[in-house]
Amino acid sequence: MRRIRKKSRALLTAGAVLFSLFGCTGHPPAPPGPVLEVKVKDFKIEPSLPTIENGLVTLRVHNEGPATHEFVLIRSDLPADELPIAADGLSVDEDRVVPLGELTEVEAGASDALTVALTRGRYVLFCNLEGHYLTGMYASIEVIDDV
Amino acid sequence: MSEGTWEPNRTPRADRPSTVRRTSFLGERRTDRRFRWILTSYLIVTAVIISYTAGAIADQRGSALIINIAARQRALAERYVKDVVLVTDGIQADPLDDAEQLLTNAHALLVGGDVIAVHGADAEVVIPPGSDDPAVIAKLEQEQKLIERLTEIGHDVMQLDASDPMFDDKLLDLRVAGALVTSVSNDAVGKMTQDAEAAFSRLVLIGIALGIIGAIAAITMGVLMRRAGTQRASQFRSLVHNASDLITVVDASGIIKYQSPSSEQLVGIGPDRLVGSYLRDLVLPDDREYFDALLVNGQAGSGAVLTGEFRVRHADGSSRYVDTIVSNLTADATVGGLVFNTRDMTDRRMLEEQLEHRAFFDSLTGLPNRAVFRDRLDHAIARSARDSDVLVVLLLDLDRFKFVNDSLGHDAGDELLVAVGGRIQDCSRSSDTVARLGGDEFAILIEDAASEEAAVALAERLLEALTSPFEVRGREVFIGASIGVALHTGESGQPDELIRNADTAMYAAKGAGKGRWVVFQPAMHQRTLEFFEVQADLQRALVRGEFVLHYQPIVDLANGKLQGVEALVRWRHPTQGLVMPGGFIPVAEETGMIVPLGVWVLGEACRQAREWRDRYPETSAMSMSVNLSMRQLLEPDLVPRVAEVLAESHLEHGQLILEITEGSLLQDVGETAEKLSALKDLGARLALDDFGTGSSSLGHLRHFPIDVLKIDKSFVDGLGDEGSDASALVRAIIELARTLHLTTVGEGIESAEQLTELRLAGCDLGQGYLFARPLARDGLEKMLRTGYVFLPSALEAPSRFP
Repeated sequence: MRRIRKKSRALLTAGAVLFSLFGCTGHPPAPPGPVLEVKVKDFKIEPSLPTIENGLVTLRVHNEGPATHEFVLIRSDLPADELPIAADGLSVDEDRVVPLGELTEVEAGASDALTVALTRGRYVLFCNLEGHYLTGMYASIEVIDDV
Repeated sequence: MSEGTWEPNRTPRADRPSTVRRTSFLGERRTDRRFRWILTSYLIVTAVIISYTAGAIADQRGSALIINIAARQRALAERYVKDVVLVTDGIQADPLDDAEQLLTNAHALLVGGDVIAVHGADAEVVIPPGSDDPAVIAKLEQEQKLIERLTEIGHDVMQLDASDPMFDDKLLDLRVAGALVTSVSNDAVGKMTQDAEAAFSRLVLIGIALGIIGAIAAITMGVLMRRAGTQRASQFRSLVHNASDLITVVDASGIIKYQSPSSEQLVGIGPDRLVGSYLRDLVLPDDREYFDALLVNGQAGSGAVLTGEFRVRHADGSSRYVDTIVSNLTADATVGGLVFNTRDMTDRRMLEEQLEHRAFFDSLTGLPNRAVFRDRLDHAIARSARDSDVLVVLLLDLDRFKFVNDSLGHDAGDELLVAVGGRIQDCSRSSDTVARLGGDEFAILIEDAASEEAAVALAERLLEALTSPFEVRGREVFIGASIGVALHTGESGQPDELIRNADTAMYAAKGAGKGRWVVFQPAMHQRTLEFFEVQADLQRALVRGEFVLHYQPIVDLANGKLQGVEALVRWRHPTQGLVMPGGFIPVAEETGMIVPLGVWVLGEACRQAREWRDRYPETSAMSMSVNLSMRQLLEPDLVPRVAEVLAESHLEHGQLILEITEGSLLQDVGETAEKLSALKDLGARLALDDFGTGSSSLGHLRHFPIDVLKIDKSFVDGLGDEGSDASALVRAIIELARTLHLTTVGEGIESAEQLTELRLAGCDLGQGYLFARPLARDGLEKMLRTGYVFLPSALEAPSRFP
């Protein structure tokens, strides 16, 4: 189970990297699809919109600090504050959710982007450093069909 | 100077020691400067490296300690959570102590201060603020807030009972808060470590850069030192090789170990043939004893320096005068012998001898001149006082000489004078002194006359000899002579008196109809009386203000501009009109009146110079020359007098030139030199007047602080005459003056030829009738007003000046 999860996560990351490389050959990379700005700070995650159109979605993450944070995107119909907690009692059990993409370390003051193909449904964004999720670093968004 | 009279230990000459002591070259000084610069830079770079390294090491140690403390916060937070849980389980623990440490350390990491360490090693230390990086500071602030929150929750948890429904929630809050502290602390430590690593990399880079700069400086310095060493050695070699001075190194027995190439010029033998031979062999046999003494004395002490003069033999058979400086460098391993630094003095000695001869002998007849006659008379009178000898002075003045001169010309006159000198000598004995006093006046001194009759017999012989016709330029010329005879019979009496008596008698002879001799009788005191009369008149004249100054322009020969004036005294006699100095200065000298008269002249000249400077500021550089007599120079209060006059007139430094004669310098050499130095210190310049007519030892020029050399009119007179040696002498004098940095003034310039020759010889200034006679004040003022330039046409002649 864990092996599979790792494999899918690696594939996703590779895909994201490929996308970003593809998009990075020019000057400022023009995101291919809809863009969602996400503000990260101690200890909150604030997407600029609650909904976004489906497709190749780019999440532009800005860490306003002061601490370094992680950024994980999962698809889940669970309410954002009810994700399964791991055995340490301090972080989300990533084996029991399906991560679609992850930025492992976003430095304070830095920005990073994650581009993923999203279909209609509910998604949760959170920081999974110990204690951060439980302190409230999560938010949910909804992906809707093209209008 | 004849051989054997030189002292091996004479003081080195002022113009020579430079060759011995001055060892600094221009290039060397430049290299020294570069050395200093490189060395200073190297030292600065080294100091920067050391202080930077020391500072960086301290910083690194400090930041390592701080990071260590920051990293412990995480462990402390975990322990705190654990201890709170233990306490709630009823197990003994001390979370309060953990909390205190957490809070204290968090505060210290932010603003600096005491920290409480977990382990003993660095307990209770004071740290500076943990970082100046804003990102780190923000993280530490966050951490501090989280710690405060953690300890608050911990406090709440400890207040609750385990059975309380709130307990589990609170415990989770506690663990979450602990995790947040841990996470943020990790984050902060990570960032601090990153900063420290960057700082360390910078330190390494700067260290490498400084090391490279230091190495470059060290290598440059080494290269420069090596180059300077080579340069110095080659400079020395080239100096020795090219020096006109002869540089010889001999061993203790006088064998030449090294010889510079200039031996080829000085003795006509190359260094190759000289090395290995005795230096003594080059010395003239008469001077060898002296040379041996020099060699022995030269070895007296290591580092000793002494000077000597001797003659050496040239391969062509001639001899050369040399002076030498002997330095004992036996102890110097690189030299290991006595160094003779030898210079050819032949030209200077020849000139000295020529001038000496000129000073004592009449250049026309070769007879002793007035100075020699006077000297011999002085000695003879001194001797006669002891031996009671009868001394006789005969003064002989030619009759009709003026007629010959005027009708047949000066050259014929000169020829006649030479012949007369010969006949007088033929009549005299070799022990008598025959002198030409000037013009057509001769004198004979007989030191051991048996009686008055013997003297009269000589006078008779002379008259007879001179009455016989002379053949001049193919013509027979008849002249005669009048002779005055004065006897000194061992009683006290002055030489001047004896000459005056002979003179009186001679005039008596002329008055009696010429062609005869007259022996002086005391009754012939008329002239003496006149003398006293003049003296009394002089005193009155000074009181009544009958003296006036006339000013003879001194001209810059390069451009004809007025450079200065010489003040000359005149006597506006109530009955005789304007009397020239010849009419009263000798009497004034003899009676001592010259002293108050000289004071008046000095004061008036300086006052006038000041007035002109104020009225014609453009002539401010114009010098005022004033003659200083021998009597004045002997006055003890001369220096304060001059100081007073200069203070009153506020003349510029160097504007006043005091002219003295060579004779004045012979009086009391030590005291005179001191006085002259004192006068120079007051701001006066010193000129040697009538140069070449006195004793003419060039030593004067070296021993006295002279600034200006005035070449006597007698030299200038001879310029332009064919067959005259005057040109060569004048050139030699000017050349000599130039080497001694003296300004030269040609006196008595009367013709354009003389001017041209002087200019070609490089004479700086000149005065004489060609430019202007001495002028009364008004006459000179007219020149000053108009900015008069002298003789532009004469100055257009070809000259060495641009």
